[in-house]
Amino acid sequence: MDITSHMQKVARMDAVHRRLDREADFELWYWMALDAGNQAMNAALHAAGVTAEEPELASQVNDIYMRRTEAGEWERVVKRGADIIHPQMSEFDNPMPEKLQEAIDALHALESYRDPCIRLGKEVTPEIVDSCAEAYGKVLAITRDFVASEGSVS
Amino acid sequence: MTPERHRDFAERITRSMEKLTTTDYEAVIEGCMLAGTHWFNVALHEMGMSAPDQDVMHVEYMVVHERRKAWLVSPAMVEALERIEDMRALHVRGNADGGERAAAAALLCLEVIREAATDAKPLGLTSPHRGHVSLST
Repeated sequence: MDITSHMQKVARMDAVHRRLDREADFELWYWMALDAGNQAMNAALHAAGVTAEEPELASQVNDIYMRRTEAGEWERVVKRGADIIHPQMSEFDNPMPEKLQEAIDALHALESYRDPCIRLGKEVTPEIVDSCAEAYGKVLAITRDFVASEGSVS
Repeated sequence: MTPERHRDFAERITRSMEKLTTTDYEAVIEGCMLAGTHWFNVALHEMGMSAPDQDVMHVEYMVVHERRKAWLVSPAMVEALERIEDMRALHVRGNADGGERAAAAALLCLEVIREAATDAKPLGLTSPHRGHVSLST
């Protein structure tokens, strides 16, 4: 997907994230941060030339994408180097800017709570909520700055 | 996790979704995926098709023979969760048209899964640990 579309997704997801209660709605509050963070990461990776802006849409499986056919239908295709679904599940063929690596580390920190807290029942403490909020804030701050500084938003 | 804990999570997420509308289609679809997966695990655990330490993350990630068995027992439930999962590429990660319609459909799918889980009863099948296949253990 192109950088502009990724950043539009970030805005939509972040708006929902901010509307939800971080304790009563923790699961969705967290998940919107995760989704927005990943969208922002994709935009920054494209801006850095680490991955490419491609028209195909990422699925739940690495390297499987949805492509629109000329007839307007959607078909699955296998390819590499476009949008990622999780940094920790990805391999990058181009050099990673140091600043973006910090954002990836922060996204990893956010993701580390995903399965324990959302799927496996680990107790969500105020410290965990704070840690998620901090990691998410760092991902957005770095990626937004990066995209803006690269001047790639059309 | 136990069926009770899955049910608690599904109900919490569903309560949070009451704060959304289909204009928030990314969040609705993700909420349906998360709550639906918890209900899906409730159903499999209650039917004795999976043990509490064998939770499913996505239908798409299931081992083929386990997905086949679940589909034979409850095709509507399996297909409903798959349909929600398929929406994620187009409308959550991607920007395909029709997000609000998809979100409305996802809510209907979630209800199908919830009903299947609520109605689930032990089927008296072979212990799921007996049929669980792993090359690493």
